[in-house]
Amino acid sequence: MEHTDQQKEMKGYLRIFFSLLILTIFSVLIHYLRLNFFLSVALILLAVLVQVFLSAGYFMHLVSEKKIIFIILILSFMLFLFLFLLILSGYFCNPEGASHVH
Amino acid sequence: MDTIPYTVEVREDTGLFNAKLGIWLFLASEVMLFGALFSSYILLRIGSSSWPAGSSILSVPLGTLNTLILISSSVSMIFAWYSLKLNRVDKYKLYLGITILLTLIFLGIKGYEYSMKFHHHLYPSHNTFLAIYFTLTGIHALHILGGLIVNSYLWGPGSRMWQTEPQRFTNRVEVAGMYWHFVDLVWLFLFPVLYLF
Repeated sequence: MEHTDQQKEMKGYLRIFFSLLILTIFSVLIHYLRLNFFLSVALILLAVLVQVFLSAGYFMHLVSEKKIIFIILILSFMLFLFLFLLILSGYFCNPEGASHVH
Repeated sequence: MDTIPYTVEVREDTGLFNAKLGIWLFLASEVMLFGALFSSYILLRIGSSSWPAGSSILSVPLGTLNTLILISSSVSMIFAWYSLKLNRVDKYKLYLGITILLTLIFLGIKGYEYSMKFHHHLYPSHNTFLAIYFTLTGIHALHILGGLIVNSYLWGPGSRMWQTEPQRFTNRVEVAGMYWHFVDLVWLFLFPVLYLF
């Protein structure tokens, strides 16, 4: 029984591995197909997000991790997002008469 | 001499052994570091009047090959840890050895890419794209180098701990693996952002 469980777990990791490989090849194919820029960015980003979910979820065991880990990660991500949006807002909140120099 | 607590047993309040909590806190700080670098990339790109396509400067086949190598090293790393869980230290050595070898190949290809850029006089000072490319991939390569040093230690002299404290050693390998998967994950973002967009 235990041996079967081990084989199942190893096969699970191999399935994740092949999924990651296929998604990488998918991203490269999208690039070579020369689709509309925004469409290809959206498709590649979607593939990357699935890869991140698989890698973090199963290789880093996030799917079965304790609550405290999620609190740490969500807090750091929120802080990152807040700082990013704060800087990004600079592009849309120019003082009157000011412009960007290229 | 007092020993460090909770290296094997789980703390009641966190539900984790200390090294695992520690590595996640460290990885959270890494999220902030790479988050800041990706933010810089986005802000530079949207603020720029023109931006070259990454594939016109960088080699997509080499970038793809490096991505496949890093993904393979991630799976060999998890197999190394899993082998320890099964008390198969011989398999552990084999899989971690493969991880180290793949890491060296990754760094070799990255070094080749860098040397080709320098050969064509493409330095960070050439344009904003190359400046952010060298910054992002350079910092990532330093992380890879750090992982290589830790994994080599755990493969070589560090593996002696298996004889005296097998569970603690398994936990060490798990924590090193988490770091390795994170570095792999960062590359999964870097590759399309720099080479494909």
